[in-house]
Amino acid sequence: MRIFVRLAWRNVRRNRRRSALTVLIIAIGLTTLIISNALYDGFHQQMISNAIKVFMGHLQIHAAGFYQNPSVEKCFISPPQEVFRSKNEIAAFARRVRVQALASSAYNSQPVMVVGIEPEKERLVTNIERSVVSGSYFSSSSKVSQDCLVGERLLSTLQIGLGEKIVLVTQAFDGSIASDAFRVVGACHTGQPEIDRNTVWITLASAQNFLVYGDKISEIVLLLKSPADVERVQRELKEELGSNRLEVLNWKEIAPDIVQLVELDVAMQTVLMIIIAVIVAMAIMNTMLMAIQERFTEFGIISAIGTKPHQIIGMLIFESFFLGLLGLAAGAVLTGLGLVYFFIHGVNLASFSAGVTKFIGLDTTVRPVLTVSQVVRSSVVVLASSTLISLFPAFRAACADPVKAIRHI
Amino acid sequence: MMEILNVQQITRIYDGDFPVRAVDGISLQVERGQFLCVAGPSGSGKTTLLNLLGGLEKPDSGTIVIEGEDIGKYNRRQLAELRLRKIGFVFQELNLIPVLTAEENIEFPLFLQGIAPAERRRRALKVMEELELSGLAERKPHQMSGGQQQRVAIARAIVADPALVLADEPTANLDSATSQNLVTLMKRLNQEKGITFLLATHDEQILQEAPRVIFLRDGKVIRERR
Repeated sequence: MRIFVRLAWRNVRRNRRRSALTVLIIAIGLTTLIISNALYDGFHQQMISNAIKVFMGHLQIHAAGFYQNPSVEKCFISPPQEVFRSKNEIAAFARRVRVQALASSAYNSQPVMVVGIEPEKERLVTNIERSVVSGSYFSSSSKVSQDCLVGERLLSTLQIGLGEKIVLVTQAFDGSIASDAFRVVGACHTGQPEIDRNTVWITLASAQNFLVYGDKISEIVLLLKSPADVERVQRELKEELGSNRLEVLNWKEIAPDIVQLVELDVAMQTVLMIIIAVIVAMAIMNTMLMAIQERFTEFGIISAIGTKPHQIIGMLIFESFFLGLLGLAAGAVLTGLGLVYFFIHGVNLASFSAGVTKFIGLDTTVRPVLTVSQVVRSSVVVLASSTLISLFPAFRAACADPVKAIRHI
Repeated sequence: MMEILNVQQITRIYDGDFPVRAVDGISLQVERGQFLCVAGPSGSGKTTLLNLLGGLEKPDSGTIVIEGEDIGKYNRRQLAELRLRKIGFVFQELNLIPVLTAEENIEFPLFLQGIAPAERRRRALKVMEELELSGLAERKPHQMSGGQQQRVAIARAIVADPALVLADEPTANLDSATSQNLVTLMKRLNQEKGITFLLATHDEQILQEAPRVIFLRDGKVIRERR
């Protein structure tokens, strides 16, 4: 086969301009594929990371049924903290109380979600402390205080400012009406409009006092060191905590809309990959058909002197394989340059940001995330499509009648 | 002398609106070491006859036996094997593979036969020396004249020691001096090495010097001169 490999390589170099153009098409196809996939992956990763760090965490533990119906009665006594501390995969965890309430100011009222947090622990799990855009975060984690943080938009809805009071009214655990006034010490901008519009944070101790909860809580939020461990840790916790009394949910179960969005994007990525593979394949096929047309007599001659059809097919497949390899090499250079640009500048989604953040709470600049598997998959798709498509013209050349081929000038 | 080729009543008809009997009942025997020319005007069936003898086309009727083997029932692969092992071809033009050097072109049939690289090279160099082509070893076809290309084509045709060399108007595109040199070369190879040549030509100069000539017209042998 060596001479056919040599022949194939020399044939690639025979019409350099045409080969260069083909290589360029392959390179652009590969670059488009890798960069678009890297941007998609960056977009997904940022979207998921934001959702996790804004409020959700990787895992949440509730009383059974709380996720479907988050009523005040569905609370539980926190398991010993050793359960979580003993797991190396868990980076941080925080307990919360969560309840629906009515927030009122002197001017307006708004249904809100009241979240009782442990300020010192919550800051390790979510970005709540960093999202305080005016005023300050809680100064104490354990004491019962009448301080609260509110979503930035809620401030304007209630037409109040920092330092002013709001009244929260809800049903307490014992069935009584809980009502208390809290002073706004800070306003939060999380990037998720839903949260910024209707969330009030108070300390865990205040919430437990407010709802007559005692030591009970509504949820435990866990942040893991690696997202890859989510399913395993979830399984282990379910076994350890007992699944009848408590529910352990991962972020995909808590926010299935994000999963669906990612799945939709992955489907679009696949469509893009198919389109690019077809374009690359057509470019190669065009090149090979032209090359075969030009060299038809030559195929007749080598067939006449005893070259077998499979050897001709092999030679032509090697030709397109070499074109594909050159395309990959050129594509690697182009991709590298493109990625450097996008790593530095990112893609600014400012013009779409209002819609995007409304749904997922996204920064306006997305940077690519490059994974080895993505690069390998894209390269294999491009190389395979560029190589396999030459089977058609190769069969055409190999099956040609040598007599007609020799006369074909 | 030993018979190398025995052709009995072969016919080849090209279908179409007006079917053409390109070869019409030709019988022919060729012995090893003969130098035979097939002559005739354009359209007389010379090329078709050579294609049939070389296994490039199949006859519609009749038998072709090469070195005792009836090639009539051979499939495409077997015919390719026959051409590789027993027949050397020299065509009118565009004989060589453009991206290979003269030496590589000559080695090509040996490669197809699976001969080891060292042996391939030894045999190619030997033939090149015999045909005075040593200086052209590294040249590619476009770096050689038409005459040089045809000499390389002859070298390639004989390098694998075929039973029969079929040459279809090998001098058609050459000037008369170069044509004469080429024919002289083939005759020398025929006499010195005993290679059997079968040439299709209408070059009078070649025909005058040929020891055996069969004349075709309308696909039939109309005359033979020994």
